[in-house]
Amino acid sequence: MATILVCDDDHEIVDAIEIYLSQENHRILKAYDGEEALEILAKEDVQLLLIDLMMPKLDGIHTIMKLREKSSIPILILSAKSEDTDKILGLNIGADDYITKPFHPLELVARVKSALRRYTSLGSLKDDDSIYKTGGLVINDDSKQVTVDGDPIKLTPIEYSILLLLMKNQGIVFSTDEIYEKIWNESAFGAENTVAVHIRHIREKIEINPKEPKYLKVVWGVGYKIDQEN
Amino acid sequence: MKKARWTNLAGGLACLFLAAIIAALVGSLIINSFIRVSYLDEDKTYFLDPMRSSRDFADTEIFDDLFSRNAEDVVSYVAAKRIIESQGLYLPKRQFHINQYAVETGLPDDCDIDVTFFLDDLVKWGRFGADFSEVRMSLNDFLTYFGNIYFLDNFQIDGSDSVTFLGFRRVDRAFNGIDPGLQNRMMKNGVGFATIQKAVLNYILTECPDYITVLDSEEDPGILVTVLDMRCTTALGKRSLTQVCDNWVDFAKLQRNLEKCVSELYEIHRIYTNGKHHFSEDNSNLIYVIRTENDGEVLFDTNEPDYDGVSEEGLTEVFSENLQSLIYYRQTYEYNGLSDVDVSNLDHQMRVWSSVYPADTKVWMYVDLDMQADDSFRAVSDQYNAIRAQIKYYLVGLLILVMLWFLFFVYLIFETGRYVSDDGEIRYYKMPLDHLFIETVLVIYFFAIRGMFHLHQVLREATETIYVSSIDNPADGTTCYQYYALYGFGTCLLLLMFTMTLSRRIKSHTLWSGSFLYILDKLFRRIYRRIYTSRSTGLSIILPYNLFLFFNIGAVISVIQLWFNNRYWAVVVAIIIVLVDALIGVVLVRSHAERKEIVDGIRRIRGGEVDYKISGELMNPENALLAEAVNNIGEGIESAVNTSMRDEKMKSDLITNVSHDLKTPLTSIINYVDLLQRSGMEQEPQAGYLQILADKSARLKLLLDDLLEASKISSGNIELNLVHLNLTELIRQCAGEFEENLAKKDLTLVVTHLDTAYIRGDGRRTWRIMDNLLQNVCKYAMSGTRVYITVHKENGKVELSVKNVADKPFTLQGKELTERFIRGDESRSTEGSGLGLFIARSLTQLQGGEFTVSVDGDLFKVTMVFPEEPEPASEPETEEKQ
Repeated sequence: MATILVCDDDHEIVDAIEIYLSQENHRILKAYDGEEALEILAKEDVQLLLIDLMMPKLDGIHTIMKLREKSSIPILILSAKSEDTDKILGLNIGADDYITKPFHPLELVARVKSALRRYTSLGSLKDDDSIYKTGGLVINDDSKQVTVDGDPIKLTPIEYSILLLLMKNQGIVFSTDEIYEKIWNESAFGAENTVAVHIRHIREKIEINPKEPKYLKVVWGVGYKIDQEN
Repeated sequence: MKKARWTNLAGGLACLFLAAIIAALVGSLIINSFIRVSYLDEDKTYFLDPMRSSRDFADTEIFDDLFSRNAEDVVSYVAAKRIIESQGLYLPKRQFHINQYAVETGLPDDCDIDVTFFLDDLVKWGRFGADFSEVRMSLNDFLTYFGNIYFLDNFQIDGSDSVTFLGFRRVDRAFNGIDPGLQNRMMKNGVGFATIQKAVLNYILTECPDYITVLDSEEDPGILVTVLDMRCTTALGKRSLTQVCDNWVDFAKLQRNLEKCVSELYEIHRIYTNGKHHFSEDNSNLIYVIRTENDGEVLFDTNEPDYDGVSEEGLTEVFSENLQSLIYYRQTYEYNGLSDVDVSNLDHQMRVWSSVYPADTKVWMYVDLDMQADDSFRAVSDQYNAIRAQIKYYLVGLLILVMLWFLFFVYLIFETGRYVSDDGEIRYYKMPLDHLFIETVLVIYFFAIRGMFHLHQVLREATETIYVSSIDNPADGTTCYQYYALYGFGTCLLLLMFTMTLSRRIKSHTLWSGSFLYILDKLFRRIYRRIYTSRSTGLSIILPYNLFLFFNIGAVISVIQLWFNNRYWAVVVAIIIVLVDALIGVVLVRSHAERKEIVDGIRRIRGGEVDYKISGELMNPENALLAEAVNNIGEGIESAVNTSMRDEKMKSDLITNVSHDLKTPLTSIINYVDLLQRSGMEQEPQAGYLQILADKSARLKLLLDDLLEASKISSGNIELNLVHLNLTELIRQCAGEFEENLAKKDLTLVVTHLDTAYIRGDGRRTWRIMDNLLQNVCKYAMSGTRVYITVHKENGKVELSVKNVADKPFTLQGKELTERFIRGDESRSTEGSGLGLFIARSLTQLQGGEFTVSVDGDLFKVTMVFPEEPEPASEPETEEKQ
């Protein structure tokens, strides 16, 4: 389906990734340092790059910076560095996603898929008043359909209402009480953790890794929100 | 070294000899500068200062003095001449009237008997002086010595208590008892013989008390008569004065007059003969004329026969032509003269010889500056002129000698103590004198110099008195050059030894170290250090304070005492007290300033500026010690902090690196285990083994994450994003997250919160805390029980607690549970890293909260207390939105 360049100085990891992605019918190119990756990128038509940060010769950060000078392909970072600062740096220089090692193979596959979908389907959707989207998450209020990276998601009516509320007000934080009052139209007194449970269910359905949500974010001690796509 | 010593010895000797020569030269100059002049009654030594010999002799004070004293001598001589001579001649066999002389020279004219002596008999007698012998006799013998005096004519008897002796009116040589008339009168008035005798004695004693003494002795009453021993007879050949008298009164008066003549005539004769020699026409450069007029009798004395009989006007004219002249009219106290002669001395001399000089006395004198005659003027003048002529040569010669001496002296000072050794290097040696303390040397020299000074005075006195050249004996002075030479030699020796030892000490740098002061200084420094490094307050504070107090009290007392004796010293001592006290004040103020500096330093170090240094260089020893100690503490803290920070950083870095390095292989393990599971390995037991691998690798991942987080937290390498946090909302969210997990273990969550509670905290970190706690609950709570989460507000604090019932009994106490890698069961068989509670506690504390764990039987309780925050102001807005 797509040509993916996997770049990591650990051969076994590269091989494992090749096995998983090959099963998804992708063509895999392999590189073991930054310079090699840049050479391949110059020759081949690559649709996605999976890259490690700590590598010999040319490290991941510099490779990404060089690549971003001329290419806009999706880039996913694979790194053992799990600090917030590392993640922020990686995303700021132009990476689309940041996967910390050790990762679960299925998560990797899901993220790659998500990135590819977004890349290929960019701008293909009609601009409609009843369609709300952020990243790969799209809600069509007319058809009451929710898709993530093109895959349809099944939600209960309450879950749909909550997601729609948040999608309509992207970037605004809603507390559980507010959500409860808006959805159930009654006082939140005694609602306890009803909203929180629903939110968790939504997250499990739309997120690749519910513990590190990409769309429906928890603002701890305040409420929930869906970020606007930047 | 030997050579050096020889040259030094030669130099020293040359130096000494030169000094001796110089001293002898100076000595001769001094000796020649003295001259002794004989006057009639004394000798006088003049010092003809060679350094002030620029004037002509006649203009010097010495000339004036000579003139003045010679003039006085002339006055004396002329007076003596007039007494001794008669008709211008000295006649040894002249009959000298002693009563006349006595009256003329001031005794009362009360002697009726005139006695004459030959003049030269009296002069010769005078040479030996007047001697007396004492004759003792009974009262009766005494009274009747000259004959019978008991006649009525001699007495006046009015009553028994009024008997008066009228005088020796009748004295009979023959003694025939008491006159009957007197006896009659006595009987008539009842007068005893003793009363008569007493009256006579009283008369004698009243008339002339000299020479007669009444002895009051009880057993032997009598009279002691002092009788002049006659050395010659009277002109008439009488051997005793009693032979020319007929009573004691006459005898006493006569003897008195004679005694005066005898004692004075010799001196007058001496003045006369000396003066006659000095002031004769040929022997004197001083020309004089003395004219006296008394009751029309004019007397004229001169040593220049040409002026004899010249009128007063003529004399004045002639004398005033001379440069050094003196004209004095006594009566009008009129003085004319060109020389600076003190006339009052002249007048005084005339008063001494008042018997000779009447008021109308006129004196003319001048000094013949040609100095034809060989007298004192000539002698002094000659010597003065000789010195004047020679002084230049003397001085030039002296200068050359002194320069030469100085050359040797400087050479010796430079050379002494130094020698060139065989290997060509300059070495220093010491002499015996150099081993003494310099103070000892100074004391010795102090006395030596005093001795030399004294010797100098002795020498000078000797020069003035013994060795002075006089007019009569000009060569006397030569004999004392040698003493001057010796003196010069000795002085130079002392000087050389002193300067040379000083020079050697300076060269070998032992001037200070070889002194007693140096030893004292060392001693005091040691004591001072002892006192200051002593730990006892007694020494370091009380001793100096007491010294200060004693000094002040003592000084004030001495000032008060001195004030009554010597105000000058009182003021000096007072000034010293003020100065010393001011000094101590300055020291105290400085010490205080230094201490403030130290305190400031301590404050800065305490404030975290551990590399701060107090500069204690200029401080006093005590403060310097303190400053050094503070600096050391600062250094200690600095190094401890640095070490601890470095250690913590290293540990954190190590954990981070190890975690990263472990993560990469773990990725491969997880991936390949997953691949194996997918490759259709479904037969047992392999599938079971794979599942274990998958579980354990997942657990390893969890462990690594927790480890990383725990190390970041404990090394402080974590940033908090503190915001307003609604704790109840957060708990609601957490409850939602864990709803399913709790349900799985059949646990019921009971959340109790009365109000909304706000705290200041980091939402994600707080979630992490709750996450860890609730995961623990899921792992360890007994199935089917209730789990309580309680929020409670009290006194501005928010208390959040989580309670559950454990499924197994605890083996550890609450506090231990929060340590790193601790779990309720020590077997570690269950899942979890053992870091959950530690991380929760650390994060709570980082956000300013308290975290306590308590275990009560199977009840496990975690309590967190945070400071409460007020509700945000935006709350009403959201209320409105609804």
